[in-house]
Amino acid sequence: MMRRGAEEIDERFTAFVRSRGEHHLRMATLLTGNPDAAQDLVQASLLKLYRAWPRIDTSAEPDAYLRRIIVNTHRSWWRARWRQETPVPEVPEAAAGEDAAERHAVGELVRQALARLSRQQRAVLVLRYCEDLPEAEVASMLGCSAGAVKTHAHRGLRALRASLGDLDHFAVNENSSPASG
Amino acid sequence: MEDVHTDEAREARRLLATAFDTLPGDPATAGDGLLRAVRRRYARRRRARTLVSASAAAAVAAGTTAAVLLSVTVAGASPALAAVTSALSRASGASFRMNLKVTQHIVVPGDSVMRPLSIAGELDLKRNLVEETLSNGWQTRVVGGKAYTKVSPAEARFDGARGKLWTEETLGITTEPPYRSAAAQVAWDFNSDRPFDPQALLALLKSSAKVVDEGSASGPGWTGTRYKFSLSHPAGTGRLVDSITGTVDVDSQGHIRSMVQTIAFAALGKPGARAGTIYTLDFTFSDFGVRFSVVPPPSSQVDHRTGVGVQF
Repeated sequence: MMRRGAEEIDERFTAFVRSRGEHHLRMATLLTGNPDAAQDLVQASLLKLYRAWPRIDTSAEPDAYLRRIIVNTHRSWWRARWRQETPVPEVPEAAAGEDAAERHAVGELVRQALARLSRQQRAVLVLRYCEDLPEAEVASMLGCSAGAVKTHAHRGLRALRASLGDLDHFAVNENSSPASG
Repeated sequence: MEDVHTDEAREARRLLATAFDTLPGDPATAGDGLLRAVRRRYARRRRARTLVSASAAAAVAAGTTAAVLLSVTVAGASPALAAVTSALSRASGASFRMNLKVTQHIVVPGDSVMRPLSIAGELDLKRNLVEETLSNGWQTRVVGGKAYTKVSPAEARFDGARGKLWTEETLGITTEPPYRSAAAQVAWDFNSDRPFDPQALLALLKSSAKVVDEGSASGPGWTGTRYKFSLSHPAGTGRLVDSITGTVDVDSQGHIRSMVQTIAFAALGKPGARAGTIYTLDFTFSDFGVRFSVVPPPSSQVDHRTGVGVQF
């Protein structure tokens, strides 16, 4: 019986990672501003989720559990003693020209601008506008008030705008949206 | 006002969606690739736990922790490597006082040396007790299986810690390092809130570094030998680390007395390029066998919410 239970857990966990792993990897990339760090973050978070899987009700919201683990783990990693930057790989510049290439270039610029925001502003923008979580839930995850979420979102977006400058000449698809949860 | 917020939200969603959708996908790192990586981590953790348990049991049975670790770690190694790994192994199971000064030298761009960070601490790695005080006002305490970190009021506000200056983490769970290799841990871990741990350097030296005898060394109340180690472009650092070099002074009793580590990072954002930032870590160790106690900070000053919602 125990063996069968473990196999079932493995199967469900495997199916979850296959279907949702990439989404969380993308979210983590925006959250960390670094694809390598995102890989580490998601792997470590999935490991924690796997260890907890038998104890939690994953039939309803495994995405929510994993998202919360990612945010908490990222928060604990970020408690660095110094706020000084350590070297990270430079993201290659995207080619411009056709619409698709232009859209990729904009995406790249937005990611670079996001990476320059404070950790809290970046987390709020990603959770609020990429994961589409309500303000109250973002506040709960980040341990701050809903008012602080509003403030971080407003200031983060203002900084993003300032960093991006004039993007009107790029063909950004208004209808695009992150993969839904 | 509502319209402004709606417009703002729409713009934010559009920008974030573009950033999300245009991320380059890599089948090797998503889906099954991600699953394989998680399984490897799971297996590695299980193996590590088994090895640690076996070593600890053998050490207790023999009553000689350092000797057992030494016999496991340096079979077939050069005398210089054996001496250094033995001293680091002894530190892993000992109590001592430590001072560390970290200096950051930015070579590219510009040429500037940042104000150093100093750390003074008492560590008993066998009993998992640590108290470290940093020159920037931070403190770290490890006691009762928990790590407590005190940050400045500004940091506490920034991190959403509800104004509480101390945070609490369960050892071995939330503090699990995200490093891919011992070299990466040595290169980046000093800039974390984790206390000094000689295990990563020990693993790095055993696996790939050259260690040579540099002659005699001495300090207040001790004489011994200086050893030098060097490692270029260490694996598992994403080519961001140019080199890790250093010296280790070991006294005639086999205790590590001082250590200087120099970590040269490639120029910012240019993997494989020549060093752009150099960190120097200058350690001194003393008072081996010292007995001290560490108490947790008052509960009312601790932000206990790490892992809130789901406890791992």
